[in-house]
Amino acid sequence: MTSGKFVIALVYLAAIAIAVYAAIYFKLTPADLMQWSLAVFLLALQIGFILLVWLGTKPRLAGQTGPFGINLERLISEHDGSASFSRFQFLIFTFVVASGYVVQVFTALANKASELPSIPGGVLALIGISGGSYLMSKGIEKSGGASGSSGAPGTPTSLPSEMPR
Amino acid sequence: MVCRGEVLSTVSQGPLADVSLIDFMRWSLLLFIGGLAGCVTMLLLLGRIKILGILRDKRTGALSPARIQSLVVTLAGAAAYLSMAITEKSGTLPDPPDWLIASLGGSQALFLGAKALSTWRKTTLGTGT
Repeated sequence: MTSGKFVIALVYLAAIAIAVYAAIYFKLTPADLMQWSLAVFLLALQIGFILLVWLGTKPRLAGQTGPFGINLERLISEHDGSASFSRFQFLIFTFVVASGYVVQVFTALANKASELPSIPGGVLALIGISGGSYLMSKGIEKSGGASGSSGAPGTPTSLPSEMPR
Repeated sequence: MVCRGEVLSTVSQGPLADVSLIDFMRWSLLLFIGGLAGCVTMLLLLGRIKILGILRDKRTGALSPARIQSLVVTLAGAAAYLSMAITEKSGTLPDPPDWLIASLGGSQALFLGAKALSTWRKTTLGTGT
């Protein structure tokens, strides 16, 4: 057994031991234990995802990939490596609407609502403006041809095309 | 038992007494979205996510007023709507006010117009200025 598998086995055993201890200490029923175990597992996945993003997005030489992690280095970059404003504003509105929706889903659950919250037309308009702006920006760049995006004085960075996107 | 009245449970004793599963899930998901947003923000500030030149015209390299105004309006509009969405107690997403949609639409239109004009100048006149 490699050291990595040994560590994973230890983590599994520790998780089971904590679940058993919690079930006894809090006097949980099997159904409660399942629900709380899933909730804690989801929380661990979420924290792990954020850690992978943080560890994976490191400054590195062109073409190199890190040992592990999720590399978001080019999250808002164009194909030529330059930062894209339209992607940036799209990212912001995605976070804003997602955050608001999550809050309202749980507010609705706390209010004992039987359905997921509806999305008003104004929010769809906001998403449409943001996404439409992104698409139109891409269209303008395409219509400008490749000559405008290579070697232009304003191009701040230029990464090789073999970089992961 | 909390969710839809009967489904999800609360812990009955110990340090987590009266913490409902629905509250736990709510805060863990908010932690995830907030943590991810904070992580991306930090990576942007540290320069690990490439953001250099985002306010500059791609063709001239000069600072673009259209991009600057669009950034300001986008950040202000997003903050305004986020505060509305988080403080809403009805369980539905609030409808954004007309002025917010109009200002964001106008700002994006100005940004796209400036970009289109710069692209047109570059392709037809050979200069982006």
